[in-house]
Amino acid sequence: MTDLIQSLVDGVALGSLYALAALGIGLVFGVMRLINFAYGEVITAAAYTLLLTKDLNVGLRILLAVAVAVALSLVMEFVFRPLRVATPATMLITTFAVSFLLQNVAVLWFGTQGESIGFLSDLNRAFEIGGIRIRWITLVSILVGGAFLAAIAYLLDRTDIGLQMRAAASDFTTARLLGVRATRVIIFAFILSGVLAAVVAMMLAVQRPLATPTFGFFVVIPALVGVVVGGLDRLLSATIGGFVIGFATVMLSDLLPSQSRVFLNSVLFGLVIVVLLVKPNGLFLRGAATAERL
Amino acid sequence: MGEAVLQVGELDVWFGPLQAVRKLSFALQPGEVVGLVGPNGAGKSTTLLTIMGMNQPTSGSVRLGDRELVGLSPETIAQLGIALVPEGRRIYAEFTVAENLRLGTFGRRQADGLEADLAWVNSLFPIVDEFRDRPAGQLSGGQQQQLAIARALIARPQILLLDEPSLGLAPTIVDGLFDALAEIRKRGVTILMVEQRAQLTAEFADRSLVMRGGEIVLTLAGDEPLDPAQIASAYFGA
Ligand SMILES: Nc1ncnc2c1ncn2[C@@H]1O[C@H](COP(=O)(O)OP(=O)(O)OP(=O)(O)O)[C@@H](O)[C@H]1O
Ligand SMILES: [Mg+2]
Repeated sequence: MTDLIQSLVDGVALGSLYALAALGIGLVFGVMRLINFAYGEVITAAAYTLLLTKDLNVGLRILLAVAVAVALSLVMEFVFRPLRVATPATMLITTFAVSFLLQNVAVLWFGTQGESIGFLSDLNRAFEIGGIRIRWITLVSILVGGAFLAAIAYLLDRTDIGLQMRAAASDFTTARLLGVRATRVIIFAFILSGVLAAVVAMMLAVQRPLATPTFGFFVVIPALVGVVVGGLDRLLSATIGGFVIGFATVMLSDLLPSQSRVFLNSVLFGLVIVVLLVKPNGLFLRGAATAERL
Repeated sequence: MGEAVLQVGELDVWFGPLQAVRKLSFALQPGEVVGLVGPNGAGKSTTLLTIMGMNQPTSGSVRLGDRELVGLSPETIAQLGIALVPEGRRIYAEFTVAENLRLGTFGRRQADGLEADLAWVNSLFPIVDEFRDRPAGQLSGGQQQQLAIARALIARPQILLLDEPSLGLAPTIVDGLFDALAEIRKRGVTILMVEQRAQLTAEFADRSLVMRGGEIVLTLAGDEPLDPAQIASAYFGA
C-alpha cells in the first residue's frame, strides 16, 4: 500500500514536469502549427547554463538559466519565421535539423560524457510522513508545476495577450483582420515556452544531475507523446496528455517487473502510433478542431 | 467630389493562373455607402481581402487618405481604421460573446472613448450585452452576424467593409440588419458592402458597383430607378 502511494506521488511529480514541457510545445504549436522538436535543446541549453554557472549563487543561476532558454527560444522563433507559410512536412524536417544541429554543438563543446550539474542537490533528501518517504524535489516539482500551470491558465484566460494567443490558435487569419499582431503573439508564445523549458530543466537537474547533449531530448520525446495523445489542437488536453505520460511512466516502471521495463519506451511509441492512426485529434477531443495557419 | 477616403487604383489580383481582380479602380467618399454586387466568383471577396492586406496584388494601389496600404500587414491595416466583417462572420464559437467583442478592440487606433463606443454598440445590438457570457457559438445566425458587426465597430473604424452580411438570414432579420446599417451610416462611417441581394443593396447604398469577372461592369446610382434588364445583362453578360 505505501509502495503504491509512493508511486502515485512520484508519478504526479514527473507528470507535472512533462505537463510543463507539453505546454511549452503546445503554446508554440497553437499559434504557429509548428511542432518544435528542437524544444528539447532549449531545455538542454538551460541545463548547461546551470552547469557553467556552478560557482554562482542559486538565484543568479536560475536567472541565467531562464535568460539563456528564452534567448535561444527567441533565436528559434527568428529562424523558424520563414516557416510560417511552409508545409507541415517542411516545418517538421527543419525543427528536426535544428535539434540535431544543436545536439551536435553540445557534443563538440561538452562531449558526450556528461558532467555533474550540482544544482540544489539537497532537495533530493527525503522527509517521511506515515511511512512514506517523499523527496523534497518531488514536492517542489508538484508545487512549481502546479503554480506555472495555474499562472499560464490565468494569463490565457484573463489577459489581452492571452486572448490574442487563443484567438490566433483558433483562427489566425481572422485574428489578424481584427488587428491582432501576428509576430507579437508568436514571439510571446516562444518567450513563455522558453521560460517553461528553463523550469523543466531546473526541476530535472536536481534529480538527474548529469548534463548531456540529449538532456532535454529525452524529456521532449515523452512530452510530445503526451501532446499527441492529448490532441495537438487543445492546450488543456495536450497538457493533461503530458501529465498522463509522466504519471504512467512512473506507475508502469514501478509496477512492471524489471525485465519488462526496457520495453516501456517501445510501448509508449506504439501507443502514439495507434492514437495517431485512430484519433488524430487526440483522445480527449470531441470534434475535429480545424485551425488555420498564417 | 471631395477628397476620397479610400482609393483603389488599377488593382490586379492573381491566384496562380487565375486572375480574380482586373484593373479595378474605384473610390469611396467620406461617409458614403457603396454596394458591391455581382455573381459568384466575380471577385468581390477578393477585393475586400486585398484592401485588408490579406491578398497581395500583382499591381495597383490601395490608398487610405495619403497612405499606401499595399504591402502592409492585415493587422496594420486594421489598426489604421479599416474593419472587415468577413464572409461567414468568422465568430470565435468557443469564446464568449464578450471575448469576441474584446477581440475587436485590438484594432482601435486610440485607447480613449472605448466606454462610449461600447455603449453605442450595445444600444445598436442589445444581444451583445445581454448574452455577453455565453459561448458565441450558441447564438443564432442573425445574432452572430450582429456580433460580427459589433466586433468590427468596436474598433471604431473609419471604413467598414461588409462581406455578404445578409447571407443565410431570414427576411425579417435582414430588415433589422439594414436598420442597424442605417444607424451606422448616420455616424459617418464609410461603408463598402458586398451583397447578393442586389435590389435591396442598390436601394440602400448611395451607389452600387456591379462586378463580374474581376471588373466593374456597371455603376448604379442610388437615386436612379433600377432597370432590371440592365442589371441582369451586367450580371450574366449580354
Ligand atoms: N485563396 C484563393 N485561392 C485561389 N483562388 C481563389 C482564392 N480566393 C478566391 N479565388 C478565386 O477567385 C475568384 C473570385 O473569388 P471571390 O471569392 O472573390 O468571388 P466573390 O465575388 O466573393 O464570390 P461569392 O459571391 O461566391 O462570394 C473565384 O474564381 C475564386 O475561385
Ligand atoms: Mg465572396
